[in-house]
Amino acid sequence: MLAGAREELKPGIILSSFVFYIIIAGTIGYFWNLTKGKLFFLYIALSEILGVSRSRIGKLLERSVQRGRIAPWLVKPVPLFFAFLPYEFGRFLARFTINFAAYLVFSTFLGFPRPVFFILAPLSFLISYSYSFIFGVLSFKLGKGSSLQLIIDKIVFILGGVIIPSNFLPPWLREINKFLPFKYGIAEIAYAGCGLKFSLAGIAIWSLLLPGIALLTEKLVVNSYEVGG
Amino acid sequence: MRWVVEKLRLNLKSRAYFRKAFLTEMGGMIVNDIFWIFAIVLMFSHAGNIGMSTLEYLAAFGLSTLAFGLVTSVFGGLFEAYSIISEGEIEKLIIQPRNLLLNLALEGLRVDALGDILVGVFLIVFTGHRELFLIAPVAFLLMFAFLLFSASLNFFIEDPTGRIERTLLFSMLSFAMWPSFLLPFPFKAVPYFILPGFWLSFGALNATKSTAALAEMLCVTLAWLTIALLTWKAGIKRYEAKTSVGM
Repeated sequence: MLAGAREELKPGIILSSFVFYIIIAGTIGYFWNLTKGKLFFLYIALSEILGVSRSRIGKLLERSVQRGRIAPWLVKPVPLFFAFLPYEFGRFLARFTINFAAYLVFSTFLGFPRPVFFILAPLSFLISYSYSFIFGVLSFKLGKGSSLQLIIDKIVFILGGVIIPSNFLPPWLREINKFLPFKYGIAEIAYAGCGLKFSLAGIAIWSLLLPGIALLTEKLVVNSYEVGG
Repeated sequence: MRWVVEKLRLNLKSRAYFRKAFLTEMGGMIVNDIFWIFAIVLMFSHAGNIGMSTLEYLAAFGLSTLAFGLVTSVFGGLFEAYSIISEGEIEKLIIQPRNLLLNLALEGLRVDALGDILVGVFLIVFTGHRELFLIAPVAFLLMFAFLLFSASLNFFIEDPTGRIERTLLFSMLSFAMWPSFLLPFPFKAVPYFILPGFWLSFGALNATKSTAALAEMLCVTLAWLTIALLTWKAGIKRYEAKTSVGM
């Protein structure tokens, strides 16, 4: 876990993350503030804290598989899902802290988020880690999937509610989105932080369901990879 | 010049050899851009009047996509400068009897960025703002200058992951994609001069309508070109001094 946090806690990276957070949350937040009010600014600022902290395990796995660096991990007795989890959680904690520190710039204007935001934030990580892991582990079957990752990133941005609140989606897409995990990892938790209505049941269900699906997917694709190898 | 064309042709040929990967990477970027267009349309359906029509906004977005795509695909080496410099690959380029900047810039070609070019051209043509093609060379120069500046920082800051270079580039692009022109003074100075993304999209659109905006855009581009070239020269000097001490 410390290794993951250490990777994020380098002066250049802290500064660039800080600047990036302020630029993105500030520009988009200011825009929504002008058109829809302060609450939207708070929503964007909080969803950016969660959204920018999303897991990169998918890319990490894909690169490891492509470069043949995955083998040492496969001989370990723990599933890949748990093997990478502490490292990624360390990264998440570090980035969450950096982004939250950057948020303090806006806090005099926007106020402090509700305490429930901090309680639910680790679940945001777990949901994001799990689906990113599922897409990453598919590279055992698909090979190079960087374009797939690009698309998934954008799906998370739009359906997750990072740049546009998820209740702004067209009605048909909102209905589909109810049954997908993306908004429960970001938008719903940001709503909780803003004091708006949120679905605790949805967050809890996906926090339990997705790790299970991830473990199952890993079992299926890694077994076939080992047999093939 | 012939060498540049030949190098570009070879880069393209070597990437196109793996046809499936070539097409999926390019297609992936096109789909990625379609998501952005969807986000912009959604934004407009909820935002009310921001002083610009959806078509104008899409045209401005198209120009930024085109500039980013063209510069980062053709000069892919600059985009990957962090790894070329940190892994010492640049040594191989320094000893060649070619212009080092061009040699590094042409070291790679980003196929996915070709998707950006296609989407950019399509958006500009589709929205009917073809006058943007006239201003496009200035936008390319500005994009190139900023890319060169961010790449040159790798000589001063050790960053083998390229996070700082990417953050700078994407911060600039964010100002090109989001309505940065709405920011109040003094925050406006950031997208206008410090991370001049404004001039890649909305500013360029203004420059096609007003001579003052065009003059301002030219000044910003010239200033950034000077800053980028000076940073590059200082960086190379520093790198050569460091390696000669090491020897």
